[in-house]
Amino acid sequence: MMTGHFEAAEELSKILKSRRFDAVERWEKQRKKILELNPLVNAYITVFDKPLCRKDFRKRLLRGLTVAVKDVFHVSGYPTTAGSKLFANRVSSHTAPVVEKLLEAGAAVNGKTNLHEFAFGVSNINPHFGACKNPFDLARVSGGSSGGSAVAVALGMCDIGLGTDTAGSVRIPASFCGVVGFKPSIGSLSTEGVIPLSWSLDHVGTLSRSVWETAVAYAVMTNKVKEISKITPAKLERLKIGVPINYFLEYLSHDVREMFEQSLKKMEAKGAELVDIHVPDVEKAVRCRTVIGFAESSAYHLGVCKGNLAVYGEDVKQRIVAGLSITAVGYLTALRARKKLVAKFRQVFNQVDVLATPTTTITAHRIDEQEIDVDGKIINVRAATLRNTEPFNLYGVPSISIPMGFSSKGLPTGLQLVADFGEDFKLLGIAYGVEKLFKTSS
Amino acid sequence: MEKAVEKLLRIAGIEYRDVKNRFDDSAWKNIEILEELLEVVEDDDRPF
Repeated sequence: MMTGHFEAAEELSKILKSRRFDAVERWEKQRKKILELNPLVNAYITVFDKPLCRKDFRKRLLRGLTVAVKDVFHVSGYPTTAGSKLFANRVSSHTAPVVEKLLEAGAAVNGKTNLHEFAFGVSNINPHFGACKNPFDLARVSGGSSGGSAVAVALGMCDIGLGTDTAGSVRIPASFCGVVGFKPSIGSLSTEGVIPLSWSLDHVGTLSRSVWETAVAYAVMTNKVKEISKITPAKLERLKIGVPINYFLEYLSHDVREMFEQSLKKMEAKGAELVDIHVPDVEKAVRCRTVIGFAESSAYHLGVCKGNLAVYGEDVKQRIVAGLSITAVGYLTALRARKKLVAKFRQVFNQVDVLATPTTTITAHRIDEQEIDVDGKIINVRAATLRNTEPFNLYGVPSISIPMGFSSKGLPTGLQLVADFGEDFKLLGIAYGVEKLFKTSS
Repeated sequence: MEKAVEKLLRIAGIEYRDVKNRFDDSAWKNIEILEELLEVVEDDDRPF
């Protein structure tokens, strides 16, 4: 564990209000950290010599707070590798609109972060740029595919991380690395200027050290800066929290189950009402997501690889081969089924305000592990990692992972909260309230 | 059919014989999923 290197979740509101805040001094401190720790954790693929920002950033809202950008977002004048050998020498000619919005608000981009190759995996073991390692145990994965941004945030190499999430790629590394990961409602953040994994499932999301920071970044990127003053921790009294009785709580490791049960007890003690919920057709939703995601990925890569699929890492290559076996009828049927599955799922919010699940069923696994023993059952680590996050990409509803404590091995665990489509700020307020509760009761 | 798959995979730059197991297993599984999802869409005649 990289003791002494973790950045405390200090609220950026205090920094932003401080007259003495010196962005350049903060950049230098963060750069020193990157130069010292990046060779150990592989969080960044490209570190900018000087953070990219507007000349008058000091007069703007974010005053030079730094953003680390997953290396699928185009930033004009810099390489965008997508974690692939194929794109290693490509330099972007334009900047993704979500990055532009952060720059316009006074943020400074300090580099491009490591990811699972083409964002098509959840371990962040990248054969071309090195495995992104978990700062709590360097023998373990960061989780992915936005692992570099999660590690950069956890270690204080930047203030905010940008990521993408197609099956859990923001929330999974957030859970494994002990930070906050937010995937908003589908379409609320533009995916323009972002190298795609799956056009209809990709979500842009954020990683940060607190829910408040997440909400600020989200407000900036959605042109809702006025909402920032309204972001307060929601009261948990009489809040209806749905606890799934099917699918999500199966195959939990002992530590994750214990932390989840403790979290529920804390919320209940604060006045929240826990409601048992049967989430309909989750298994069908998962298979539907797989068909759509794999078909779209393979359609994109068949064109972009230009006959060079052989240079891809073995795992990603195999997934693209699997996607190529999907028929047009299979894909179109999945798109039609999606509408029905989403409509049926959203009815759960007639009964509860939010759903709560563990973000991942296990804590970060070892880099060399393919399978894991969960209470006597042997489970593939990829399946265990994305099991609880991927349904919400099909449903397109906002989901957030917040730290809920540590396992007996000192590894972080994450609590996932999920709200109905479009209720992003409501979800952030609830997550803020839960985060405050966890901090005061830990 | 096999020739069509060979041609498809050559566009990607790989040989069918090298990935035959993965491709065939996935194709089979995808048909099973199709069967399951057809039950979801039932007789709904709307597009996606």
